[in-house]
Amino acid sequence: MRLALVRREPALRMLPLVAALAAAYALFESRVALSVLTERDVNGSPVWSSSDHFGEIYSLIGMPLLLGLVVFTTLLPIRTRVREFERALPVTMRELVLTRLGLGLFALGVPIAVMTAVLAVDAPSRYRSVLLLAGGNLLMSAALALILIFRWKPTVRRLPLTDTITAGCVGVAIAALPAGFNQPLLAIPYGLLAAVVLVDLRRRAPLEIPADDPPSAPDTRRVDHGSPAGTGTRLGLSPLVFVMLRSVALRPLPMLMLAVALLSAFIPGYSNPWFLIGYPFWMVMVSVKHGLSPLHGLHALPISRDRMLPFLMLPSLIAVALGTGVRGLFFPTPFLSYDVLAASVQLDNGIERANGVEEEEYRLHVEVPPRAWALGLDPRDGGVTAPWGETCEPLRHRLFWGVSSFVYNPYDVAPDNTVRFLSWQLSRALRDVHGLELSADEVLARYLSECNPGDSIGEESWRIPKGAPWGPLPDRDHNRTGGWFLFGVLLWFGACWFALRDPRPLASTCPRWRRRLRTYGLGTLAISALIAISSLALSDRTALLVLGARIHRWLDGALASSPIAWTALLLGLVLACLALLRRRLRRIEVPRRPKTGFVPKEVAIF
Amino acid sequence: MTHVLELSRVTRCYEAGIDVLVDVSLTLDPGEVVGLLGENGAGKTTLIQIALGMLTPQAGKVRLFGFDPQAFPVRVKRRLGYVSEDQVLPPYLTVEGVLEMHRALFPTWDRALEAQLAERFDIGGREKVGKLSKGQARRVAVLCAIAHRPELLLLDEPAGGLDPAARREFLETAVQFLAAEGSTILFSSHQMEDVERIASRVCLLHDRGVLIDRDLDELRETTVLASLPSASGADDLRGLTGCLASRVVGGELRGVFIEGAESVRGQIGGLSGAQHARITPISLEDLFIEIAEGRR
Repeated sequence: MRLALVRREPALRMLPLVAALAAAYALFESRVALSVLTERDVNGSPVWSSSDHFGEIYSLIGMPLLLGLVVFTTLLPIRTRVREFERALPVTMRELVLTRLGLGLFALGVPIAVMTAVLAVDAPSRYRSVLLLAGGNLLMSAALALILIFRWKPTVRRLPLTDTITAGCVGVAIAALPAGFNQPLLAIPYGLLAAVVLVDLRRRAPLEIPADDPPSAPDTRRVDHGSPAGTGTRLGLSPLVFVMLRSVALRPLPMLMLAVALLSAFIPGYSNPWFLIGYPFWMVMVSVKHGLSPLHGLHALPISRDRMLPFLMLPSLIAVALGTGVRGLFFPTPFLSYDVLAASVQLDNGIERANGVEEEEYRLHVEVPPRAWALGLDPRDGGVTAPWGETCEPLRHRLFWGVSSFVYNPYDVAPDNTVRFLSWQLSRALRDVHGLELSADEVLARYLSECNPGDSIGEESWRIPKGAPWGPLPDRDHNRTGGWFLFGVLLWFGACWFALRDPRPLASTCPRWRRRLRTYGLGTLAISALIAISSLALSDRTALLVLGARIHRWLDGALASSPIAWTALLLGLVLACLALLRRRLRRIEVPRRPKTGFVPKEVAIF
Repeated sequence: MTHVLELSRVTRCYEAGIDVLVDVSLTLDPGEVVGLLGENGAGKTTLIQIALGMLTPQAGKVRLFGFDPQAFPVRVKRRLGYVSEDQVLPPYLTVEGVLEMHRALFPTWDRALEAQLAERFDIGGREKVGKLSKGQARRVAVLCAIAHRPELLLLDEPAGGLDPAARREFLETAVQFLAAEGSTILFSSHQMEDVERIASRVCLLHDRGVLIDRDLDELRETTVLASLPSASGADDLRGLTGCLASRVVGGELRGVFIEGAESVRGQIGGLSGAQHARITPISLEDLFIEIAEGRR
């Protein structure tokens, strides 16, 4: 590996930023994820045994991996082994291949290492080994995947995209990544395998740089001279549509984004909002930006920007909608099944959590979805009184600092309440939240039969058994799917809007140092804001959850869970977004086509 | 009369404080063939891309066939052709696919002219554009740019990288097919012989603006190179009327004037060494070099 070759790589300049992002992400994300890990650890089951932890660790450590992957595949296409100017340099093919492989490993390894280190320092000591092992597994999985990709045909200047073996290697890579999370010490066999493949790669890579890629079979088809009959494409598309699809729409990044979005949706236990928002946002933005470059090559043709708009915008919208829609359709959000509701009524025995909360939080609660919480304006609001006069003062969670308004759970119970009161609250909660008519006596008979109705619930250490046979909920909630679609559309629109900002006016009025100052200043502010919001949410995230739930409840009321109403709303929203984006696309100056642009082999991701 | 192209006091920069074009005005009328000259970085490509609507000027007005090219992009682009040195056609399309795409986009596409050009260039068929040589790909680009008989042809160093024979064929084809029909052509080039052979008017960009904008014949008649012993400084010549640039080369003071030989002779008569002065016509290439060197 030649250091001179490594140093000149433009992709390396991005590495500190990626590492910083990984560290910042780790700082605020670790608190959320670790608190979830800790809460799940209440049962005493080892972290490895639960598939639920997979999603958390994935979101924790997978983020920098993907950051690094995207940055480096954008700036340093791993399909290309030799660039034009490198052919004239006095270096061997072996050095070039190993240099590029080393850069790729560096790109993947640094963010993962930074993230793992920050997490390990930040986490409670009993999770340190888990995180270190997960980080090591991920690192070795990524290394193995990358080496496998590089091992295939190290004798060509550029790896053919259509090669089935390439697809196989990528498949192995994708399969290896998730496998690396939940198996302890998987890093050792992966690392050994990677080392073996690396040695083999070094042996196979030739010294001479190939003059060119192996020639394809000669085209024996007859050449005509502009026959009037149109040929179109094999798929029967018009050439213009084909060009737009090939150059603008079907970019590799949107496809990768689609895969990530879908993958996120299928991860068991996946509940990380930052990863769900931040990462797709970034991917949409990058994909739209990449789609803009080919437009420069088409600019001289009489094609209106309006005609380009669908090719530029819709692939990312479809990808996001598929990802969020699949999640909405197949994965219930917490608190939407009776089992979850029943299991959530438990007596917390004060086990140490990753994040400090007030002691009062460790009392028994009847947990209900945030949309069932109530809003209190007067500090005297919120008291709950049973028909027989027994009362309870629920915990009050202030909406924001300096505001007297608060939210509270009207189905809450206090330690000095009786078991009878608990059954009454459960009965009310089931009726109001899920429409299930189950009287307090029935609740008492089914779940609290071993308890004396008159006893105080705070005197016993018990929990309502999980898996209570209350049956599945009737599928009455189209809002869940619609809500996810809505979320996806808004996310997509925000990213596209940001991607289509025109840098020209800024460049014309602002010196470079001021623009950099502005960019980095805004970046620092944004990260600080994220950390602040994260801290705020962690100190008492109930208020934020309930605030979101109230919007949900409003939509619930307005749209009445009607698929037609949801479809109309979403279509209207998409059309409005497209209209706004159309105006923006008309105005912007398409960025200069890079010298290597438009020719797919130079800008392709794989 | 509506100009084919009208740039009025156009200013454009890419970075604050680093202007590429400042207050540039240029008009093109039907039938004119204008050669756009200038050093690397003088703003030739920027000017052509502004005319095309690819770039937006920070100040000034642009009209193409009387329309704002950014407000009516499709309307104006249907009436023009564009070829640039770094233009890349979709490499995954066949030549026939590229032509088919252009047929669909240009209502005035002339199939007979397309066939005629294809035969002349020996291109067409199912060969992929990505497998063509540079010269072949450029021929396809020219065919696409002129087969709809554009009213304005914008050529941004279109023959760059081509051998002399291919370059000549390329430019002659463009001019033969379009100039004869009264089309307007604006082309930038570093090949002065191409400009001298084809252009009827020359526009030289220098120092962020238009330094010369004259008919070629007039330019040939009026531009002279004055050489005299270097007893006088270069600044002495720069102060004279019509002096475009001056410099000292090998003990000789040289100045380029655009005012004609008689006028120059009268002006330099008072300078020391004027009796040894030589005033000679200057070629376009020498003019370009003298201006580039003399105005640094």
